[in-house]
Amino acid sequence: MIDQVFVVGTGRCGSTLISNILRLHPRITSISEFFSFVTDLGCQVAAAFPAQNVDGAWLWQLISTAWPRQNLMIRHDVAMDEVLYPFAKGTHRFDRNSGVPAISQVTLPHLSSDPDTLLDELEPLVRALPSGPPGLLFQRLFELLAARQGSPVWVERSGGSLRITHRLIEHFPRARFVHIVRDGRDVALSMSKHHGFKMVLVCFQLLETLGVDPFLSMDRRWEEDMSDELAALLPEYFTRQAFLDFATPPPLCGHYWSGEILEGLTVLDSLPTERLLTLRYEDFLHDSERAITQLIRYVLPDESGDVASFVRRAATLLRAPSSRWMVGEDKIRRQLEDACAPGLAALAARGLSWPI
Amino acid sequence: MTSNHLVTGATGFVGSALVLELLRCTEDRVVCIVRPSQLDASTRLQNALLSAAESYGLLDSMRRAIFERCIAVAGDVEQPDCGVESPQHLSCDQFWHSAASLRFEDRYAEEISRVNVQGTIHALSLAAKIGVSQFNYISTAYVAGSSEGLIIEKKAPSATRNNHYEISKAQAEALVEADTRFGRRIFRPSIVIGHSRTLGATNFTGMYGFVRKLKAFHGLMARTQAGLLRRKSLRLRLDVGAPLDLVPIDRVVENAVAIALSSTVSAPELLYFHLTNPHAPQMDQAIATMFAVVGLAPPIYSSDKSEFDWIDEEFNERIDFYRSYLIGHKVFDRSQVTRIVGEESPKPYEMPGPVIERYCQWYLDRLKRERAGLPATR
Repeated sequence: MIDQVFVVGTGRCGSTLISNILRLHPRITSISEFFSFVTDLGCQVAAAFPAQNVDGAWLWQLISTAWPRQNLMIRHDVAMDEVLYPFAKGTHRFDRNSGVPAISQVTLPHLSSDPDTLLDELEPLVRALPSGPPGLLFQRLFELLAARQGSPVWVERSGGSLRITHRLIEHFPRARFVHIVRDGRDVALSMSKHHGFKMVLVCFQLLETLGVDPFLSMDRRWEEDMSDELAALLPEYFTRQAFLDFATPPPLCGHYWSGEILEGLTVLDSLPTERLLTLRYEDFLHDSERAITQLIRYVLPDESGDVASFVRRAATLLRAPSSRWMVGEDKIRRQLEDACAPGLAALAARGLSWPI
Repeated sequence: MTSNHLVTGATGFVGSALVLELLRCTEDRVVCIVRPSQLDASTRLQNALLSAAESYGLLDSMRRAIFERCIAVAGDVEQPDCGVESPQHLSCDQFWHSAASLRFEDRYAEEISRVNVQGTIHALSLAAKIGVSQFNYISTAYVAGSSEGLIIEKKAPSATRNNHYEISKAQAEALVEADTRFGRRIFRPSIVIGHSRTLGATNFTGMYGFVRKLKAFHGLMARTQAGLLRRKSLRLRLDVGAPLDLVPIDRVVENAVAIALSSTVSAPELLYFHLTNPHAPQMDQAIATMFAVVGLAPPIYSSDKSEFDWIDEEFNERIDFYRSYLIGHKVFDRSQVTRIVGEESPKPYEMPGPVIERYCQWYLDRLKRERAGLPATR
């Protein structure tokens, strides 16, 4: 039986680094950003986890559709740095005009240098999957990817997946979890500069102001409630410049981080200790060999190979972070401290703290 | 004796209620200039009037009059002569110009000017060609802009205006004031809300727009951090103790029609009427009620912005349009209205907390039905 592990976090917490480390290991299938893109950046979560049974055709549609938010970003040249599919080079099947399927954005290029062929290989296998709960079909898909590599374990990691952890626990009842945490003030600062989180927060505002999902409905009766800056980000008006000009204030990201931590910890508290490992991103930077070893030992408890050699190789991936709240303006620092205080307090109550 | 009325904006909130009131109080014909959309002018008018009548509990009593005494004429206030092809074939005594854009953001500045200012030029031109004797203009009490204290029913002071909407309405008033070909009445409603008996409304700007802003901000922050604004009180700038001039739609149109029918105003006479609330609720209490209905923690009122944290600043920026309602102690004089309609019963005007709560809850229930399909992001 193939082992199941999820790496969860708030996003901008170092989880991409974890995916990249795990990808280096020959016995691990690292599945990156699968749920980020099949939920169209977290804005179609319920549609990706329907209550009723689904079949292979449903799963194929979910993973092979070029969903609107992520492709609007590609079309306007504001895609997230995480997107690995070479849509701009003209060398592959999908481009800005065609749109890129959800699973091809990151997940397949993370596993293969030829994501189009891998997509073709998957189609008949996925379509043939028998009906079942959505979690079971996701498991079958991940097992297909792991079997292709001969791995005894797959590790799925999507940025910001802490917000769907309750669904992952429900749909993957035997999965283990790695929760990666980072100083919320640094996370918030990083989120405020990140195109993906900007898009998510823009979509929250569009939804709540319009009262409909503007990517699914043309009902614009409350467009007049929008600021000029927000209205310019409706799909029909969207431009690269309007997106770049739209501010994602660090304190908003700080409140978001605290909210994710508070809810996420409550959910993770329900897991037995053997199903949860919590790691600090900063420990990967300051004591990398120890942190990477801890990670590998958790993901592959029976690993008998040369872990030390792998750890040294993986440590070369580590880079100093670009967002550090302590070097920011006084006002922003105070706002970040205020916004992140609830999340930091909740982590401190679990023995995880950062310098004040 | 019957006469004819011509109404612009008859598919709008005040306009449709006005038509119903004219039908209710007279045996007159009411001609309405209606811009065709996907529907022809006549169908669009009937739909709007039937919907308004239903909202106000008047459907049974007004249905026949709507079909028999209302005439739609295709037109558009943005066009010369309001887009009416043969004005000479129209005949009416009273012109009611209530068409307006209620938008305010910068991106709508041209549209606001086109509808509210150019539209008034076109309405005055059409009124002259038809040969009406009286021109009634539905303006807003908030042409007073940043003025404070007792606001008299006279030419608007040259105060600072807070947004494109107020500017355009003041400009339109100036056009009406300058045109001495007719007797003119300028009606200035304050913040028009639903019917005092049924709570029903057909347009959701003003108080409803504010409640919608509260709900949207609450929703955004709830998606950001669940429960945050139930725990944290928002601070906002507001004049504690000032009145919040909410006035039910039925009081607005009953007074306007009663005034217009009471006597003839002859050219070049010009009269102003504040269709406002003589028993307006206290603003801080009314706003606190709105917060509670939306599910927000009780607000904290503050004039010192240095006390604001980031969320407070963000919130106050988002409700900036409503600043002219919230800041500045305005009391609207109603002497001219009272002189004609007499002292009115306070009951439909009085709005203690539970009444405001019912108005807001009526609207939130409607919003909830409209927004039932919003996707989960968790």
